[in-house]
Amino acid sequence: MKTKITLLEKEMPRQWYNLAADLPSPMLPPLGPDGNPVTPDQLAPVFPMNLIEQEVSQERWIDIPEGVLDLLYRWRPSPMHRARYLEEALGTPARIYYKNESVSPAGSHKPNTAVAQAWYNKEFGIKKITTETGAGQWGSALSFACSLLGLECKVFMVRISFDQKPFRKVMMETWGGQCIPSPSNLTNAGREVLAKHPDTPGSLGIAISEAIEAAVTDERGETRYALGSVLNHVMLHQTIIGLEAKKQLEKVGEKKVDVVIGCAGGGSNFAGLAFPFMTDKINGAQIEIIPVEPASCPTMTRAPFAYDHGDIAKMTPLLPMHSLGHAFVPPPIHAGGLRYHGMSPLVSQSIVEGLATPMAIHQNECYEAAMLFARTEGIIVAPETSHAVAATIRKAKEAKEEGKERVIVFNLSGHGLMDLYGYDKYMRGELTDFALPQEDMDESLAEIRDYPKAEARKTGKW
Amino acid sequence: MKITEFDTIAGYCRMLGHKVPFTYCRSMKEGLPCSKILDCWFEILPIEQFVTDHYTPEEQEKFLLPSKPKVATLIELIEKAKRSKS
Repeated sequence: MKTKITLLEKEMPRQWYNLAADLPSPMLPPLGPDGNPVTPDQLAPVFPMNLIEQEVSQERWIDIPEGVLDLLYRWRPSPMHRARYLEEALGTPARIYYKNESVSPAGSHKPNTAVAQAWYNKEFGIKKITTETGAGQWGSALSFACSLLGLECKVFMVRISFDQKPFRKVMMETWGGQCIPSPSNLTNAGREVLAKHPDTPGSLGIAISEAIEAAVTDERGETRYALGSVLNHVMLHQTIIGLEAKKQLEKVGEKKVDVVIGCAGGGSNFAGLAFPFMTDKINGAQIEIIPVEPASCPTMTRAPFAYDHGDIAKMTPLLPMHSLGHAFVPPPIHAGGLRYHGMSPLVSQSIVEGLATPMAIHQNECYEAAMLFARTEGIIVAPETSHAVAATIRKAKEAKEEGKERVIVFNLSGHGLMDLYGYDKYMRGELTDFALPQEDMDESLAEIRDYPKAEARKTGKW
Repeated sequence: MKITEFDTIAGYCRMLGHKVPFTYCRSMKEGLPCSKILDCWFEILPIEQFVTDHYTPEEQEKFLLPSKPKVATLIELIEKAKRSKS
């Protein structure tokens, strides 16, 4: 009985897959406040040009440099597991597989792009990378990556988190990162806030401002900024997950995958597993590809595809994305990674095309699924990952009802060992499901009714 | 009700990923509340009443907005940082 499917280092993919090259309808560009597309030069102060080139690339395959592979070997190839014990508990004829990204040093898929971004920055001559973090997951991943390359890493951590999450700070510092409580006296943005509110606990908004300023104002030009989700190059780096998964499935003789599932916040872990399967779908394969989101925050399942500003002043760029409008205020949920108002433009476009079919699930069902998974397969998954587990169980039960053998693959994007609060609330019966009423949705969307509408470019093939 | 009435009650902040006291939620945006204050507290506190009692409609409009998508804020922050540099 084969439970764990591994690859040798020499079997690891040598190229990332860029979905932008194969999308049947071209990507809409992000627009600036003046209505014109954002240019690479506008991003140059915060990203090295080699990453900006990836950001705008239309090449299908992009070589993974040997230097990046050497970094990834520390935990990759990640194992794929056959979830036999979950299958048994469900009594399903489906064969369930999961790609275990929780085995990375930082415990999630985040280091896949952190090490790549750090490497490209170093190649560009950058000596220091800045970023922001809340509880510290992305900050930890980037600190780890920088430590492997001898780069300085400056993480602006929201002050209240800095005070309350000492172990995340320790993780970053163990990897050599400089973890600074934000707001700080190191930047104008931080000093301005401290002058007005000396006792402020900080916020992610302030921390991002500090990280960007620290990169832009480096007189020597040796500092850049890194982002862990949403952007195209981040999606690209994560495709190693799906590319490995395809090889692993082939190893155990699976010739056809029926369902591919990933949770989707900013989109990077979904994209990482799903995009390499999406190319098969574009070329005729029958695959159901499902990004899963919280039912209480239906960015993908109920909102139209529209241009939306990021702020009330309407000064930030108009981006084509699935959006609930400015006025939408999502209700409570405990999946911290699934909080993006906007979705990756590549993921958005794949939904518009019909290549991916989003699903929304309530948090109680997600935790129930995560509990069953922990008690059968043994892994306590991250709250956001529980959405993918719940969707997998739904599809496995469908297969049982229909008496069909199906191959289901999902991305186990991270473990939940540092985020057990939601489990505790679930076990105490304190989690409440809440779906956004249609009237609230309509009211929210009325805000963006008169904005320029994104052209719904699609071929209608799916 | 006093503005400090609920300050010591702790709740889970889904943005940061850990528990925070209510005082954080009502003051984290340069003295104004977090945009998600209604969502996070409506099951626990009379939060709509709290907001109505302590913030003007203009202030409410200012803070009752979702967080910006990170990608959409980059250009704006770069320009702001450049201005700060000069």
